[in-house]
Amino acid sequence: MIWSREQIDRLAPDEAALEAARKLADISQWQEAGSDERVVWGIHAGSAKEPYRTLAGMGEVAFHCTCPSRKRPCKHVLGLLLLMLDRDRGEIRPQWVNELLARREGRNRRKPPRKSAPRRDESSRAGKEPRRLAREARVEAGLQLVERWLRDLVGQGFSNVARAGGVEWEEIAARLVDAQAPGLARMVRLMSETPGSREDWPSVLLDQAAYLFLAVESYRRIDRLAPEAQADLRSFIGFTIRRDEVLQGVPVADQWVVLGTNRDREDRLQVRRTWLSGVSTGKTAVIIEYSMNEPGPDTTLIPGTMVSAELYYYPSAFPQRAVVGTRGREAVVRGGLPGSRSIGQSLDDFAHAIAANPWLDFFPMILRGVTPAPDRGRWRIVDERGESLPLVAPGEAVWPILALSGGFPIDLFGEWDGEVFYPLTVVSDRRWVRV
Amino acid sequence: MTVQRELLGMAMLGTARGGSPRDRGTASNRRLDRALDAAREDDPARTLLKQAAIVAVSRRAGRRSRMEADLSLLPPAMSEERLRCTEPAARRLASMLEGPRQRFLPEWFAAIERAGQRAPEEYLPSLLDLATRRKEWREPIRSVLGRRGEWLAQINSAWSWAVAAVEPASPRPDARPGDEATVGRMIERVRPLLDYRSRPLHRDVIEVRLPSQLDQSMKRDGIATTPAIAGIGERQWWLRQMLARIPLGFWCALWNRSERELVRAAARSEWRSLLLDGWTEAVPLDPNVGWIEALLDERLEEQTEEGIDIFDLLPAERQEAYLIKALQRSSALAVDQPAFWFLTRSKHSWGKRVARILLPLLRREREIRQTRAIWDWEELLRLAGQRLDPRLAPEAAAVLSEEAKAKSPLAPALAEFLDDLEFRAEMIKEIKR
Repeated sequence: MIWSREQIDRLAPDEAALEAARKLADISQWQEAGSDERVVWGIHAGSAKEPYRTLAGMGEVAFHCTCPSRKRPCKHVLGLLLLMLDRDRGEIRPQWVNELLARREGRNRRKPPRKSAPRRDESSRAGKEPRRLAREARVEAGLQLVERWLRDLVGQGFSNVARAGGVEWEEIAARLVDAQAPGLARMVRLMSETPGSREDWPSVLLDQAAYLFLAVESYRRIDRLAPEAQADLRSFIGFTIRRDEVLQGVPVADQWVVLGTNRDREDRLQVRRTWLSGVSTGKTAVIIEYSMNEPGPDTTLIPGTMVSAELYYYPSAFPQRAVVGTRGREAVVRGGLPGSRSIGQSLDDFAHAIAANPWLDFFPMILRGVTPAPDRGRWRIVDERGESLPLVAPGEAVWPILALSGGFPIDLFGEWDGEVFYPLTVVSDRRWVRV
Repeated sequence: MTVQRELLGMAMLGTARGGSPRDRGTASNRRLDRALDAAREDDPARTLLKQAAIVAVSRRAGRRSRMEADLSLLPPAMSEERLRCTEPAARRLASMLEGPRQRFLPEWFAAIERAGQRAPEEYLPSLLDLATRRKEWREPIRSVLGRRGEWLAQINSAWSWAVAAVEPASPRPDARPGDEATVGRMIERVRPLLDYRSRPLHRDVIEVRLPSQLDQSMKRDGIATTPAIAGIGERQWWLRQMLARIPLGFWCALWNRSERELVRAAARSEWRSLLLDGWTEAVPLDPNVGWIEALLDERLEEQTEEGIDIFDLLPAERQEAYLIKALQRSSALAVDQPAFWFLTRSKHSWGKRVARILLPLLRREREIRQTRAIWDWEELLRLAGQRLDPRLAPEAAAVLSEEAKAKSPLAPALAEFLDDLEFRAEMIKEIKR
């Protein structure tokens, strides 16, 4: 195990967990604790009837704890890691650890590669085909509904819709969910919030309607699109690809620097986007995780660290979303953001990305040497060539960025949505700071 | 008019309400024009939506950055003189800012300041906000803001307090500096009313005659006619107010006795509380350690909480000595005991000598206490967790960690106290010089 104190600190879902963990980093709190090259393990001597069994390891193993906490990693995992920091490795694994590991690995292996099970494949395909056709038919009906509604919207004129109320739109969205086109439903819900939301709402609404219509029209001709473009369109409409299908692809191996993470909401789900940048391939990637409750699912991708890993990209004309396959060693990044660009270059990159995949919603920008500057009550970031972008910091978040800059250029990583820049990580003075 | 404006105008009005499709060839870009023309259909609504889609995607992709001629950069901040605090210290700060241990922040500020360090930049906005809400924390927070903090305060007017020079120190509380003439008139009035009677066997006493009337000149000097507190007669009230305006040194000089002798003699008087209260109120005029301790000793003797607020005027090291005395005179740590009164008053750190008495007392209290109301126990421990010198954490744990695990309603507060102490001990440790 090669965790450093710094990594453990960054691993913590919040400060409260870390503080609780510090107290658990005390051998008297554990009935048993040990570590070898691959995992650390411990049995917590708490007040619970059945003592919690805690496991942490590299790569596939990640974290395991039998406590009821929803935080991942929980305080027991963190406490155990802290406790084992200075301990010798190479202890003998107890039986229960091996059993637990075997069970976890068994679960991972249970996803069989399609080809290896031809008979099952045959039968499932026979069952799948009608299901697929039925879904396509439902989606088609949904598309017709959207088209009629959009034509009506521009036919009646936006000046009349502000009064129309969102009830009808919500109904459209609900019917699109039934039609198994959740992506379109989400767009309609977004549109229902647009009228009156800001001064230039009609122009925003027209863009939203236009994108929706583009999806409808394109889907009618999807057979004429290249396979990657088909995949992008289907993803926008709301078809999902299973993880194991993605893992059938060709992996990209690299040292991946974790640039930053963003927590967002999508419908009722928590979404976490973690952005990566490959050291030798120069590719960027985003790991998107959904969860029902606050801290989000397991992850050990911490901004400011890098991990050698194989990434499997989802099919796309501009591949970004990926899943992590096998992982190797991790290390803390010493130095600045890799692959940083000027604002102008980044916008060029974005134009190429949109040309390939017009559905792209967020684009990673790694900006070099930008300075926040006031602009009529708002803030912009300006680079040394005088090019600038609007800086949107939700709530008060602009102040930490300003504090880190002090009027000097900083390196900034964030998401660009085509209109505003959302900062996620500031690197100044060789320190990585999440903002 | 741009294509986008044209389309928007139509969408606002509604194609079914007379909005007509755009003319051909109006876009500035010929390729865009061709694409738009190719998108025409018979249905004006479909044409509008298709053209809007083309425009939306090309605008999104083609967005350029603004070249800012009128955007003026802020003058950069001055370079820092102090080093940024260590990573662990910064994380400690973050956890205190968001967590229930905010009350330990002043200690962190003081330790950082002593170490010649400053808070990391990303926490400055939270610190500035905090000090904007809590004025009493402004000075300690100001000391860890560094140049960057002052720079930020120049930009955000809500934080402007951090820009200005040091605020003027507030005058000593409760002192009513009467001019010399007023003091002289008070002495003239009171002098004939008090007599110091020497008696054998240390039974000296002060005899008191109450003033018979309140004349106009007394009123002009600010003596109120009707008592502001219950249970005291009018004439007593007048005398007490006059006593409160005469610096205490006068009485020692007049009767040639020490403050301790005078306080003892006053305590033997028929008008004991009148004298002691009047003198207690006179302490701020000339806060003299001898007088404060003599008066407090009398209260301690009497086991009363009345008039002990002059304890606040003692210097830090005398306060500690007095805490020890109060602890020795108390049979328990409950709310009706002097130890509790003085400990909860004390604003300074409690050192080793206090700990040596307090820790065993806490253990004993845990064992013997009948558990009905325990709020005072909890308050005392909460305060102890905040005031006791964190270097004493190991000693506290040695005496009390078993007690903290006992099955008793008193145990959780003890456990929390030990946690607090350890938290602070780690906090101090990780601030390296």
